[in-house]
Amino acid sequence: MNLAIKAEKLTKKYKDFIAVNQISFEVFEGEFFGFVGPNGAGKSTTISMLSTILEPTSGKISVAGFDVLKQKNQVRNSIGIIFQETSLDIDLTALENLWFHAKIYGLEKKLFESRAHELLKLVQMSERKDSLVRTFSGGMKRRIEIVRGLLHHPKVLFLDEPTIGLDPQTRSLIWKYLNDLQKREAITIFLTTHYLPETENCNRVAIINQGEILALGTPSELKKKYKQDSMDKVFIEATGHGIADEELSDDDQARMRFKQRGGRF
Amino acid sequence: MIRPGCVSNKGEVVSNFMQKFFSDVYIIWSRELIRFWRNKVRVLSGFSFPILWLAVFGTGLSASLSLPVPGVKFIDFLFPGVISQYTIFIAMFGAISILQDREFGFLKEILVSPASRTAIALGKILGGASSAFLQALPIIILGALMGISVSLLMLLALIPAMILLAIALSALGVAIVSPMKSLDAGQYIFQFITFPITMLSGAFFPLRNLPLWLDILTKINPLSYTVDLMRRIVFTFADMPPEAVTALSPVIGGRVPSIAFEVVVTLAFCVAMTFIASLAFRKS
Repeated sequence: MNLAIKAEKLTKKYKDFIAVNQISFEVFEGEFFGFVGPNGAGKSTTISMLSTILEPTSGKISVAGFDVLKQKNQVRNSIGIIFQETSLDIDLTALENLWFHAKIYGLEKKLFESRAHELLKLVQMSERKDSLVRTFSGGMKRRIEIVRGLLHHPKVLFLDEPTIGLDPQTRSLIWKYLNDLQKREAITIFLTTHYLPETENCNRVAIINQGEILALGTPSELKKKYKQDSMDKVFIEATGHGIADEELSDDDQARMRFKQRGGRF
Repeated sequence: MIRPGCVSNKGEVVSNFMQKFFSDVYIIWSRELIRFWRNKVRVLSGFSFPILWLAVFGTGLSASLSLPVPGVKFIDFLFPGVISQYTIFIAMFGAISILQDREFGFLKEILVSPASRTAIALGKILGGASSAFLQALPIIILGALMGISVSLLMLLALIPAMILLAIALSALGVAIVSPMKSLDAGQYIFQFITFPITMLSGAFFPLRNLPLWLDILTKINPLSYTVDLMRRIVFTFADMPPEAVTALSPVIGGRVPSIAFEVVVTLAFCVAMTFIASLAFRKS
């Protein structure tokens, strides 16, 4: 099977700590791959490196068959991302946000119109397409971001905590759509999440903690390995019962996330 | 869009690349214009600034202060100065939008896209410059209301000068904010820079008979020549006595610099700033 993502000894070091330490993994084409770990484990840092917006300290990565360090443009054309925090322009309408995206990705007008129409209908946002994004709830913004991330038919779709802060209805709607899409289009999905039940549907899951991969396998393999009956319990078993990360104040967490993102954004 | 592995000659690849490049600049630029148009109420409220400077300060000072040039009132002198000052402020502060994009996450959407970093920087510069130009343009109407004999020719001559000034300052703004991460820091730094460069540009007082230190500071400021260029345009088309046109210009080596020299300085400053801004943005 062809590889959609290949990371070799991927490392990101900052002055005082190592966010990602020599991780290697492969994701197959058409695979639905879960990447889970506690706060500050290195998930977002990894996604940032895979998606060309953060330079790794060392290591090799290829995405959709292109070298992430040398063929940034080809990689950027082949991927879609739904970021952890919203990245829509709230002063534009939903459709204008999509139009901007389509233009930047070189989509033709007709193709853009038909795809936008179809996708907006799927996420039930057709009626609100001409409203300013600032009037949307978190769930509505997320749905627009999902439409945007899919508009240019990426080969690899990165989802960084896509359902954080969403109500169960929206969450299940989004997953229904993503699962359908993944079956239909054979798109590769790379998911990071805190919400472990979401990984039950993954083909394979990697558990990362403190910048290192602790375990990698299908959900049933992982459950067998850790002798647990749910991914939630597997996660706790693998990463330990301690909640050191939770003891940090919100400020510290924010700063840590900020640092992880390379002090950017 | 260039597809890898597709067979095409080199010329075609280059032309596709250029097409994509300009299309990206255009998209980034048009987003800025949409945002500008959507915020027009906020934009209009900023116009109190030139009204106060020109109508209140200019008229007030003209009443008791006379310039050493017969036939020229202080408000005539101040008019091009206020146009420059407002253009400088708005163009520079326009670059704050990069920090806003960073804060609100939209910059990530742009940075992860296949748009080239240079195209993004140029689009941002042109967006900020257009909005500054459009906001400064009504000052010309304000000037006419204040009794300055504005003409169509004056307007046509002023427009290119204003555009160059707007691009240069917008680019300076982009160069400054590119390495910055926080919105607050940007606002402080801009206050810190815009006031001195405007004060030292001859926008508020003629660059004549100054003490040596102030004379040097104003002459190494490239904006002094742009501001003087704008004033010469205004004076020329407002039918001032010919000797008045250069009577308030800076003097270098006993001579008033030629119009050509001032145009070249303005153009060079604009190009240099755009180049530096693109570089700074690519590095960020």
